[in-house]
Amino acid sequence: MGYAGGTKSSPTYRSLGDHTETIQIDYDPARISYESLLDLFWKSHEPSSKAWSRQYMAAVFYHDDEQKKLALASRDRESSTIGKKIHTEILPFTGFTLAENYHQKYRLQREMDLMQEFARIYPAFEDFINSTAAARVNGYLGGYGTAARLEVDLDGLGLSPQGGRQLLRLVESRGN
Amino acid sequence: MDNINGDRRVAAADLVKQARALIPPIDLVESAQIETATFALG
Repeated sequence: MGYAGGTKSSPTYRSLGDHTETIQIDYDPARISYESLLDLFWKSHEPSSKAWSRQYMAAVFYHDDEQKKLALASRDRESSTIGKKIHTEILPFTGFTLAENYHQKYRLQREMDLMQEFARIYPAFEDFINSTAAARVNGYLGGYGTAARLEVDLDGLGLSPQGGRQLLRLVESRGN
Repeated sequence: MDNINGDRRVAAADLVKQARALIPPIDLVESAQIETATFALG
């Protein structure tokens, strides 16, 4: 999680300037396509709503011509599907500043026992931020993914048996 | 003797389990082709 789209150098949450709150995803295109990520993106926000502010606008920041082409095409499809004007911006990527540590993997950082386990796996916080496992756990805690799917994923998350059981309990208690 | 070997097998299995737990295997590895996508969700 971080800030993008603006001109102010070294933005922070308290001094964001003209930047926008942004998520940046490193992905393996052999596992998931950019088109699939775009599909998820359109399902994950309300594109016909005007932005309250530059800080909270919706946007795709494309990294190359191919991403630009796919993003524009997906916007046109979305517009046809919902039959409304799209306010989501399609903009060139010009840089990304990581947000402060307390913004990263926000739901996971609320779970102290699980965080102790991740701190052992990733002594450097930067590695924790970049971790696919941490991103997945954060997603499950945020209500994405089912308990049944978590049971399949659990062995790959690096948690102890106790940590795994705790995560499963938390996800089950949220009714996923 | 059988018990000692059995204990060793259990200990070895525990070590493998602990070692697996240290490195989450689903993390993207450096050799994989990685691309970047950036979105703002409003």
